[in-house]
Amino acid sequence: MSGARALCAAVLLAALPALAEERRFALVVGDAQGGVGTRPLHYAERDARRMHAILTRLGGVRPEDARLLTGASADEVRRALADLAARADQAKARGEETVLVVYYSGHAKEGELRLGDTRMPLVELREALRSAPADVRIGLLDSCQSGAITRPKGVRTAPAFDVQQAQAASTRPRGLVLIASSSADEESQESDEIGASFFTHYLASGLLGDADASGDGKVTLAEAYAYAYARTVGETAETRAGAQHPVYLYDLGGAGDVVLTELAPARGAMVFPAAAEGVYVVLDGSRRAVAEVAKARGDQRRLALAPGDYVVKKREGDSLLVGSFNLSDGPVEIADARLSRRPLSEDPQKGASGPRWSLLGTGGGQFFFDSAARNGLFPPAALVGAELGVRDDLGHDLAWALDLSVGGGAATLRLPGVTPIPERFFETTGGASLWRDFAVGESWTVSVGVRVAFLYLSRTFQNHSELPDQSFFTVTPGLTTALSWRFASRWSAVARGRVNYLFYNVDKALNLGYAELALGMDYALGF
Amino acid sequence: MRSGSSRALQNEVLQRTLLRFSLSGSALALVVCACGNLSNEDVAFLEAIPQKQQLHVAIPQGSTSQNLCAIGAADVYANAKSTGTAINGAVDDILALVDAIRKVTPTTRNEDSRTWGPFPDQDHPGVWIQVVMFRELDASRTPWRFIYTISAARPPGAYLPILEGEFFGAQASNGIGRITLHFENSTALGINKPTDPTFPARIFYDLSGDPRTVSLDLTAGVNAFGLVSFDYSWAGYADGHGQFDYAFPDAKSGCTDEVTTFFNAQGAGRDVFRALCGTVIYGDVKQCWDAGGCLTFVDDPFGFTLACLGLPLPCILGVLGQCPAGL
Repeated sequence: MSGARALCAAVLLAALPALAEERRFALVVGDAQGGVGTRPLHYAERDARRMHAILTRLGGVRPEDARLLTGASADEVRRALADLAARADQAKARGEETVLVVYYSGHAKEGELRLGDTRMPLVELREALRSAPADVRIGLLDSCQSGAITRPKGVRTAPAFDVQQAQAASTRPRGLVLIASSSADEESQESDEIGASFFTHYLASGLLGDADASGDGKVTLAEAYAYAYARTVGETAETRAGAQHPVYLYDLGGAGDVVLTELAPARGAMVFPAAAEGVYVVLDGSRRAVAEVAKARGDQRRLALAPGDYVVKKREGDSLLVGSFNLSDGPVEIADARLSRRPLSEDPQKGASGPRWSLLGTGGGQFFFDSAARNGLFPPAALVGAELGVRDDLGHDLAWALDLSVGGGAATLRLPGVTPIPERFFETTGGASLWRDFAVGESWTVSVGVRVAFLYLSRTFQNHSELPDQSFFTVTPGLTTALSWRFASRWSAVARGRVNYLFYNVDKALNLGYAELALGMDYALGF
Repeated sequence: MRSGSSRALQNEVLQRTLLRFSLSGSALALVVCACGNLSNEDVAFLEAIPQKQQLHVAIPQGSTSQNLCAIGAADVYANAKSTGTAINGAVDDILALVDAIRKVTPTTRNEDSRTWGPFPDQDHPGVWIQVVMFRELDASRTPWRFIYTISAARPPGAYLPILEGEFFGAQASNGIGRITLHFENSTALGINKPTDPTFPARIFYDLSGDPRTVSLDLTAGVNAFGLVSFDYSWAGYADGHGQFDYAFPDAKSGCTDEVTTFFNAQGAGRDVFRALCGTVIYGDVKQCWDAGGCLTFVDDPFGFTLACLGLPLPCILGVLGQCPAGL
C-alpha cells in the first residue's frame, strides 16, 4: 500500500465512526418463486443467505437485529420491515446512530416484487425505506427490472458514487440509497457457473474484500457498488441476455461514506499478495463460488472469509491453478506458487451450480406386463410414496432424487387342479433417479431419466396356514418420465410414469417388465 | 407307550436344521442377487402335501351323561374315542415330519422337483438329511402324482428312506395318498428314539369323495404309538356319520377286541366286535348305544359286555329296535 493511500485510509478511519458505535438492522429476503408466469430462480434464496451471513459477520449487524426471510409473503416482509423500523426508531431515541439495510433477491415484474403468489410494489418498498426512521436506509435489490425503483429520482448508471462531491463536510451520512441489479428494462441474470446471480455474487465478493480499493480494511457503499457494477457489466457482456447494468438512487447527505463491511476484525482471511495477478475464484466445501478476486499486480487484497475449508482456482491459459486452503484465525496467503496446475477438465467447480430441493408425494399403481406374472406372483399393486428431489445439483436442468413407496393389495392365486387361493401382498420399493428437465413454456416441464430401484414384495395366503409367507427382493433398473405443471409458486402437479426391468429367478429365470403410473403434488422446499 | 414326544423332538430338530441353513443361505443371496422364496410352484408342491387335520379320525363325542344309563355305558364306544385320539396323535407325529419342510425354502428347484438339503442333522453328528419331492403332470399340465421322500445317511453309507409319501391329485385336501414311516431304517441309522417302533408304519388316505377314509396300518409289528397291532380304518361321510375299525386291549378279559363301529353325527351307533384271546376268537358281539353313550341293545353270547356280568348267556339286553336307524 502506498504511503498516500495509507494516509487517506487513516483519515477516513478517523472521520468515520466505527461500526460498533452504530446500530445496524438488516432485512434480507430471498424468494425463488415468483408466482404464475415466472420460472423458479435457482439461486435467489442462496444469495439471500449469503448476504445475510456477510452482513451479520462483517457488516456490523447483530444477529438479533437481522431478519432472513425465504419464501415469505409480501405481508411477512412488510411486518418484518415495520418491526425493524420500530427497533431502529427505539435505538435512535436512545441516541444511537442507525442504519437499515434491506436486501431482496427474487422476481420483480411490472413494478412489483414477486414474493411467491403475493406482490409488493417497488414504490411501496421505496417509500417504506424513505420514511423509515433509521439515519441511513439502504435498499439492495437483485431482481429483474429492479432499476424501476430508482426512477423517481432518475437513474444513474455511473460506476460509482461521487462521495466527496455529494457530502457536506461535518456530519455523519444520512439519507437513502437504493441499488438495483439491473435497469428498469433489463433482466437480472443468474449464472450456473458461479451458482448465484451475477450482481449478488460480485456484490458479495466486493463486500468480502475485493472491493476494498482503498485498502483500508473497510468496504464502503461506494466501493461495493463500483466493484459490483464493473464486474456485473463485464461478466454479463457476453451472455445471451446481454450486458446487465446495475443502477442506483443516491440521496445521502452528511460526511463520509457508509461503511458496509469491516474486514479487519474478522477471523480468518485470505490474503492475495502484491505479486498475485488475475481472477481468483474461491469455492466453499460444496464447490460453490463464494467470492472472486479480480486483481492487478501491485497491491495486496484481503478476503474476510469465515473459517473453513476452501478451494481457490485461477484460470491461466488452457489450464487451471487450483489449491485447497483451510482458514482458521490467522490470515492465509494465496500465492500462485501454492496452487497446482490442472487441466480445465478437472475444474473443481464443475457441476456445482446449486441445488434446489423439493418433495413429491404420489399415489398410483404398478402392474406387470406379463399376464402369467400377474397371476399371484406380481399382482397389480396400489402404491403411495414420497420422493425427495434435488434439481440443478449435478448441472443445469439435471436432477436426482431418492424415493420410497409402499403399497400392496389382494389377489387370487390360481394353480392347475387347486382351489383358488386368496392372498394379500405388501410391497416396498425405493430407488434413486437421475433425470433431465425440459421446460415447455413457463409452467410445464417434461422430465426424462433413469432410475435404479429396489423392490421388496411379500405375500401371505389367507385361510391357508399351511403355506408359509413368501417374499422377493431384487434391484430393478428402469426409465422414468414425468410431466409437471406449476400452478402456484411452490406447488406443482405431477404425472409420472416409470418402466422397469425385473429379473425373476425363483421358479425359473424370467425377464419381466412392469410399469408404475402415479399422480402427485410437488412442493419446492426452497433450499 | 406312545413315542409322540420323541417324534416331535425329531421333527423339531429337522425343521430347525433346515431353517438354519435356509436363513444363512438367504442372507448371502440377499447381498449378491435377486432373491427370495416368492414362488407359485412352491405353493403347488406344498398344496399336495396332506395336513394333519385333513387325516384326523373324527369320532362324534356324544353326551357324557352316562350315569343315567339304564343298561350300562357303551365302554367299547368309549374305547373308539380314545383309540381315535391315539391314531390322531400318531398321524400328527408322522405328518409333522412331512410338515418340517413347509417353512423352509427349497435348496434346489427344478421344473418338476424340489430338493431340500442335504443338511447335517444337528442332533446326530455324522448324519445327513435330504428331502426330495417329485411331481408328475398329466396331459393338461395338471399334477396327478407327487412322490415325497425324506432320506438320511451316515456317510459313506447310502441314503435310506426315513419317510416316503405318494400323493395323488394336485391338492391334498381332495387327494389320495399313502405315507410310510420307515422306523426300521431310522433304527438302522441309529437316529431312532428308544420308544420308537422298529417296523414300518403306513397311512393311507382318500379325501377325494364321500366318505373320506383314513387308515393306519400297524400290522407290521406290535405296540406302536400306544396302539395294538391292527389295520385301523376310518370312514367319515359329509353328513357326519361314519365307520371306524379299530382294536384295543380289553383289560377285563385280557383279550384284544377288534371292533367295527358305525355311528351317526350325533354319536349314537352300533358295533360288532370279536375278542382275540390267544389263539381263540370269540364273536360276534353286537351292541347299540344312543347319543348319550348308553347301551340300548346288547347281543353278547360270551359275556364280554360289562352289563352282562352275572347274567345267563347268551346275554340279550334292550331291544334291537332301539339301535340307530340307517347304520
